[in-house]
Amino acid sequence: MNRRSKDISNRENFMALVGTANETNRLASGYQVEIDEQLRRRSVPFILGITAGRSALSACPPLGAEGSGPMAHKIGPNDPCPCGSGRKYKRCHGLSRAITRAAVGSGAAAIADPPRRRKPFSELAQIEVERRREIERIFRDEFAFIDDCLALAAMQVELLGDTPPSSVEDVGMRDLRCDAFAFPYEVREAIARNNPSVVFPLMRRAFEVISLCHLFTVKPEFARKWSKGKDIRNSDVSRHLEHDPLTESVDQLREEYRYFSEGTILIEALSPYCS
Amino acid sequence: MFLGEGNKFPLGGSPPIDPLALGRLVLHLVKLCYWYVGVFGYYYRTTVQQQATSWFAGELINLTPRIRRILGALDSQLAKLQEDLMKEGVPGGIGPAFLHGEGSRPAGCRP
Repeated sequence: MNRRSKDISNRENFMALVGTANETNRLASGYQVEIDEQLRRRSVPFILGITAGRSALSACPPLGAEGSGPMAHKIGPNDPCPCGSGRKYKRCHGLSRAITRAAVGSGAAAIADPPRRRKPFSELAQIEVERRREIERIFRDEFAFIDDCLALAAMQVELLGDTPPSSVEDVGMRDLRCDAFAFPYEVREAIARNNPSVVFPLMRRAFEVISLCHLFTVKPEFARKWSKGKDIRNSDVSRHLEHDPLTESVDQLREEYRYFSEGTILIEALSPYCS
Repeated sequence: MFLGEGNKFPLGGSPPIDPLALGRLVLHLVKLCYWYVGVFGYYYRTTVQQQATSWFAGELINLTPRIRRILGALDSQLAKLQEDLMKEGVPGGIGPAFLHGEGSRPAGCRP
């Protein structure tokens, strides 16, 4: 946080930021001009139709039509297609006319049953949707619990709202809070998507962030160290939390959650409500 | 049949559902989320106490009995599923079979 503040307060960096913003605006306006130009070229018949009224629009021939209308001119097969795709006319809108002509020559059966292109991945999206629905059904209670936890965390962020940080530890916690929310959420989504290959790195980051927050809670001096930009080793976290939070061993996890197994931390946190 | 079919860990593919592997991941994630809410709930207890509603507090208090019930049920279901899979001779668990003491270790793979 301090590093970022220094960066922004530095006049040179600030001016560089302003310059970047100006450059972005310039590029964006350039793109907009180009987009407008493309739109104008593609929608000439429609613009003509709108300006001349509905009758003129209905009289306007379809793109590529020959022989009549306000855009009437002869289009060669090797000319660029007037639809603006950049392809040759014979490869774009002229293609359907060529097929029709060939079909008329060879018989109407070719039009009724055109050759179908095989799409091997077309069913993949549907399979993924069905699998996701199935996973959500199998782990309904668990996902409901996870969603409630994340919703409570989000609500807590909202409750804290505009409250300024009260200490250096609070600054560290607030910096980590977004990551601490995002990684479990991403893990939940990856599990629901049936994509376990990305779960492990995400889970590891979630463990790291949350165990770091835990460390800041029980050992505030590490929060001050972290706020000065110094690294905190995983071994520090392990030693001070008396376990290795970065492994996935069930026994170690049991030990890790021993603190929470009786609801000690929540009861302690919520004793004002209970009284 | 499509790319990634049959492979448990394809990048970008859609593997078949493995309830045992996913169940273990869900188990870890449930605990992790409980830990997450606990850490932040504890740290910001005074601020939240001043501004929270009774509904918020009730939901937080309700998490502990819920997680006990969920983890108990999930643990027993996973154990039963693993037992069934072992009876059928299907290697269960995350990773290749040799990690669970089944099958032979590939050449060049250190124990």
